[in-house]
Amino acid sequence: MEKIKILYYFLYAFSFIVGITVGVVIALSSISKKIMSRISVNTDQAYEKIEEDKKEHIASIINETTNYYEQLQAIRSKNSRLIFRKKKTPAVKEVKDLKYLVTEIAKVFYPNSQEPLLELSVNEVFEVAQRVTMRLDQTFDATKLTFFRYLKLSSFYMAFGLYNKISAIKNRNLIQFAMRAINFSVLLTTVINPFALFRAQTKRKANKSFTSVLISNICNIIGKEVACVYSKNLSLNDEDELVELVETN
Amino acid sequence: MLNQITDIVEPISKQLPKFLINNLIIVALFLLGILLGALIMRIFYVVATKKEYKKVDSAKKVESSIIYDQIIVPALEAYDLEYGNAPLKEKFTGYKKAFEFMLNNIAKTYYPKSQYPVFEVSADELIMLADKFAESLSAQLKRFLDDNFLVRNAFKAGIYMHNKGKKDILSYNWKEIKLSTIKKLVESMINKPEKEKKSFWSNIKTIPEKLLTSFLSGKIRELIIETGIEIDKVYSGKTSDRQDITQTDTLLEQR
Repeated sequence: MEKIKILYYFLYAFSFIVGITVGVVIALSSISKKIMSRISVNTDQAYEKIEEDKKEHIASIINETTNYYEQLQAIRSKNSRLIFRKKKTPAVKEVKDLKYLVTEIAKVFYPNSQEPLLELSVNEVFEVAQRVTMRLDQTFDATKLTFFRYLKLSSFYMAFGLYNKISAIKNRNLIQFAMRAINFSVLLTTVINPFALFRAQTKRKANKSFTSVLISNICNIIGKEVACVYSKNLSLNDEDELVELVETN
Repeated sequence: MLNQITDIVEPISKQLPKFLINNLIIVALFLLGILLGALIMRIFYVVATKKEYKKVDSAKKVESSIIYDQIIVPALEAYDLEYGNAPLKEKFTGYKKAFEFMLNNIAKTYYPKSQYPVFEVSADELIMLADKFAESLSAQLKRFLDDNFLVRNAFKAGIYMHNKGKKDILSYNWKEIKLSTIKKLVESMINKPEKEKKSFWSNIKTIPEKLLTSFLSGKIRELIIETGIEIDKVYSGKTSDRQDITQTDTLLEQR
């Protein structure tokens, strides 16, 4: 009886901690949604000038890349819940990554070119460089986190090193066995207990929505920015717009 | 038999409400955890956005002349020794080697205790660097391609020779020429096979290319110095100082 009591206390604590992490992920998801919408405001203004049929084509390319990364993420999270089967490598047949996204969008504007990516003039490359730095600057402003700006790359590198070390430890046979045992016990409680199923599903949905927000927004912003570059909608080039600007000032 | 079943079922039926209550507590704690987690994250974000962070300068104080004399000049000398008379294609490899040498050594000089000295730069400094590099490169190209009569016309002649018979030429202004054209031009210069017999006219035809090749060769030497000075500015934390943009030009002119 005493043992069951201890087990329940453990389950209380475990549920509470899992709840906190899910809450953090949900809050992170809504914060990143806000930040991404702040970042995409400027992109959308330039993007609106592109012809409708091209915009439709670009949207489908962005969708393909988003789906590709979401599939990869789904496989990765599936691989982290291994119990009996061997680890599967990401098996997405067609690679539709960011490189594909950039090349395909350039092709929309230069369908007959052998090298659509190089269809920019020297001057436009300088404009792109300026735009990229400006947009990165705006991105840092949009996060409203000033420390992010001054964070040294060595901190990221150290974090990445730490992640690699943890992954190396996780890949050891003994740890793999322990992880599988834990996953098995979690699966058992999930199957037996409907409350545990509710907890597991909520956690999975929160994680999925967070990664989905990040992936779709990042692909969308990069895709639209590339479209603006190749459609030459980099700056205020229209005479009417310039006149309007002068008049308003 | 019935008694036996009752003996088994009765304690379970007594336990059932307890089991339900315990699981309801688990679910309630889980939901409470979600609320608390979301609240903690929100508070953390609000506090982090309200606080103004300032750049922390942990770089060691080193004179720019030391960097120039002990790292940039040796890198240039090593480049001259190994790639001074090499063909253009190999000169690019030489530039890459000089860049790696300067990057590692300048970073180590400013951050001798760091585990990853090369990564001791912030994203803000990198943005500044990219901005200034594009500005500086544009100014350099303008100086060499617009202000120099010989190079300007050699460049135009090179574009004409390369695009002869093609209809897609829109301009001979270097700023308006597409990257694909420049890539093809540079590739034809780098990968051109040596001909054994050369006539007078074929020699005349190669003059623009020779001029451009010699221009690019000279430019790589200058680029090494310029890159070294810019790397120095990044690691010394001078990137944010807008006045320093003139320093590169002054040193290049002195050279």
